[in-house]
Amino acid sequence: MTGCLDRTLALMLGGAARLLPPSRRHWAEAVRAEAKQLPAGWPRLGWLAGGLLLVAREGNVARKTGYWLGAGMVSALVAWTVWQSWQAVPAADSESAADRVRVLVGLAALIVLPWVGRRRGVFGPVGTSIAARLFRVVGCAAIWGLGAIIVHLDSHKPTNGIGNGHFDLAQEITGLALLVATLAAPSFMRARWPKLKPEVLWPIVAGIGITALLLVPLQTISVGYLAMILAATSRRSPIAPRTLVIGAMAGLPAGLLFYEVPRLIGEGGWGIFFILTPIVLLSSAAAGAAAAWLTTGSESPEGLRSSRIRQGIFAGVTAGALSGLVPTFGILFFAIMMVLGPLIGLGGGALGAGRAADNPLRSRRDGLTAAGLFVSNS
Amino acid sequence: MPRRVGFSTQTVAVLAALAGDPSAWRHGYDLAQETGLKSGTLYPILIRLADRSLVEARWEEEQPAGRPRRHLYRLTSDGLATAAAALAAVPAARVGPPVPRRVAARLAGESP
Repeated sequence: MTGCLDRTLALMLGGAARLLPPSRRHWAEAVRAEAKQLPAGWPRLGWLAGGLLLVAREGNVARKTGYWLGAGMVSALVAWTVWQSWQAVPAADSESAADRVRVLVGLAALIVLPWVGRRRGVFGPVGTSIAARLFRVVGCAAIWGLGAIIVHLDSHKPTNGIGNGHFDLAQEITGLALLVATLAAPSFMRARWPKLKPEVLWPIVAGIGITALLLVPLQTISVGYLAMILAATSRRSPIAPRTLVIGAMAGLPAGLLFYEVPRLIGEGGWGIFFILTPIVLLSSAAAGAAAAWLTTGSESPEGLRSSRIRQGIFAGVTAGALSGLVPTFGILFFAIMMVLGPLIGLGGGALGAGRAADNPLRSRRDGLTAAGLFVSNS
Repeated sequence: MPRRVGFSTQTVAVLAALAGDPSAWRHGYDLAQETGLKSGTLYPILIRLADRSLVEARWEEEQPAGRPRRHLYRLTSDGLATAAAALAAVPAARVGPPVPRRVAARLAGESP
């Protein structure tokens, strides 16, 4: 019986060796070759099992399994979303046809982007900090979840609240092509014109993005958010993990406040934005100041100041984006805040960071020295 | 030039086994028998040591009759210096159960 198990484990080890990078496969083959020297029975089985353990460790099998499980869950969510989109609306409805195209293309983009994010580049691989990994996983799940919620709500509404009018194939194709162009533009332009200045490159990208936003708003927002999350959490990202955490700590409570404010003041129309905008501005300014104060470095004072302002702005944008994303889960009306939030956060973060960078916190030691009672003039 | 001596007991045992006869090429089962380590522990250690260029590895050149070619290991000159430093730094009392008496004795500077 153990002979049969031996052969099975040896075969499994031979197959599992393919999970290792080519430069490491010979280690699994070494264990397998050596197994023949061991006495048949439990010693040989134990040896081969150790080889499988080696492959599991060296091949990051646990992480790969996690990725595949994640991919499976996303596929299930996609299938459910598409089914929701299909089953509850009449096929001949032109708006539902528009939604279907949007849902399919939007979901395709949401799947492709994280896949791209696994490769080395702007979107990946993920940073090594726990904050970056957590932010990426939770952020992607949130965006996918938001897509599912929108379709779910849409399929149960008697009149379609999503989309911008009757289905127009030309408009859909133009919008989606622009969306793809926006995502591909930075890489393409950098490859084609390596000396292109950022101040020329980014306005062009922004122009294409705004046009796409007008044509296919929901896909652009959700894909844009996903791209931002992947870029912010990638290994090359200039955003410090601490900045992400500060932005989240400021943005989440502000986003949750959005649920309560309309109820408390009895205001449900556009006027609500006059109250919500200062909330986002204040929270992002606080995030910007905190991120700037906590940024340290050994570079020149000017370099440190720039670094503080940069991290403060990133924290503000993160806070603003989150304060727009969170309420959209419950009230689709707030989807506009997914666009306004990061812009307000940009301003708030810059304000807070500017103040903080110009008035850096004194160290505790300085504070104690200046505390008064025991200061000596000698 | 030895890079570090803060190795685990098991790694020290592998270094000690390889340092026993630095010029000899050893194979995995041989090392496992001497150190008492299982393959799932021994090979990751060999991989780390090879990554740091402390151990060199090669396949047997000749195809032996009746069995597959073995993967062979021995210390590099850098590995030999590191092993000497590691063996000098680790007291024999710290050597745990996975390391056989023979290696423990070598770590303590006694004859096996």
